[in-house]
Amino acid sequence: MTEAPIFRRTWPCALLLLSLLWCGPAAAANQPPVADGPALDTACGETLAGLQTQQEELARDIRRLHRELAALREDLTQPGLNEILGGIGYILGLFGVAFFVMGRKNRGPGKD
Amino acid sequence: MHISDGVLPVGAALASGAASLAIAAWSARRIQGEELPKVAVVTASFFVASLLHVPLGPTSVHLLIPGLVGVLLGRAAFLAIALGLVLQSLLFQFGGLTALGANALMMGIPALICGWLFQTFKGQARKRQVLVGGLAGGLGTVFSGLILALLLATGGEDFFGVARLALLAHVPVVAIEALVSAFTVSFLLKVKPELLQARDALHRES
Repeated sequence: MTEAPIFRRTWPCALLLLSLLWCGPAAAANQPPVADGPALDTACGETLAGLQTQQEELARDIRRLHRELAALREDLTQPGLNEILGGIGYILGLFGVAFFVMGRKNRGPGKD
Repeated sequence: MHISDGVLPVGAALASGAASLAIAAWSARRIQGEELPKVAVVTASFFVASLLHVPLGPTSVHLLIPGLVGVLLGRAAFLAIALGLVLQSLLFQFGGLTALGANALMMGIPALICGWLFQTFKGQARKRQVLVGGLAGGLGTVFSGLILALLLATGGEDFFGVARLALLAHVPVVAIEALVSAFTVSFLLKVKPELLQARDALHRES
């Protein structure tokens, strides 16, 4: 029974030791992140937000480029002024040749 | 209203090509020397007309003017339209070379019909000529839509469905072309009425 107080005294001591052992390293390990945590988190968040806005801007730009590309392709299928004038020239030229041939035929061969 | 390459079955494409060649040759033989400048100018107008896009709501439609060409040229209209389509398909890739015959039939036959209608019903009075000219001009595109449906029906499409679609899409075009034709006829009557006298009309030949 004399040991009981000792036991009673060592038991919390052991508990204390144990708890120190248990919590010490964990607390020691946790200590620095807990100190820098908010700063690192805000830095990460800022970078992330920046990246996201950048990504959104890029996506918007690419969409715009796609639209412009489609419009350009559509424009390319439309005939330009050169082709129109060329076509009119072809028509008038062909009829000019036909007119010439008909004129020669009407005059008859060997009359000129 | 253009039929593209590969839409029609081969047989129909070949047959329509042969038919339009034959009609174009017939049409070319009817042309007289003095008419050639007129034919050339109308051909050039036809060639350019399909490039004039009229904005209509979200889309745009373009003029076709087979009726007006027929009114102005009579039998020479088929040759004019065939030539205009050849150049359009070569320069702008409108339609395709294999579908050229079908396209020529689609635009050329209405032109012939409208030319005949105009010469037959125009009468003498100025108002009546303008009215008939406008009607013929508008009907050209209607006939084109019907022939389009007929040609596509050879490829297995539903005739009435295609015809309804084509005609509905071209209602504004028909209206505009009727106006343009009436205006052209009335202008020519004032300025140079002999341009509207078909020298090759059937009932004037003798």
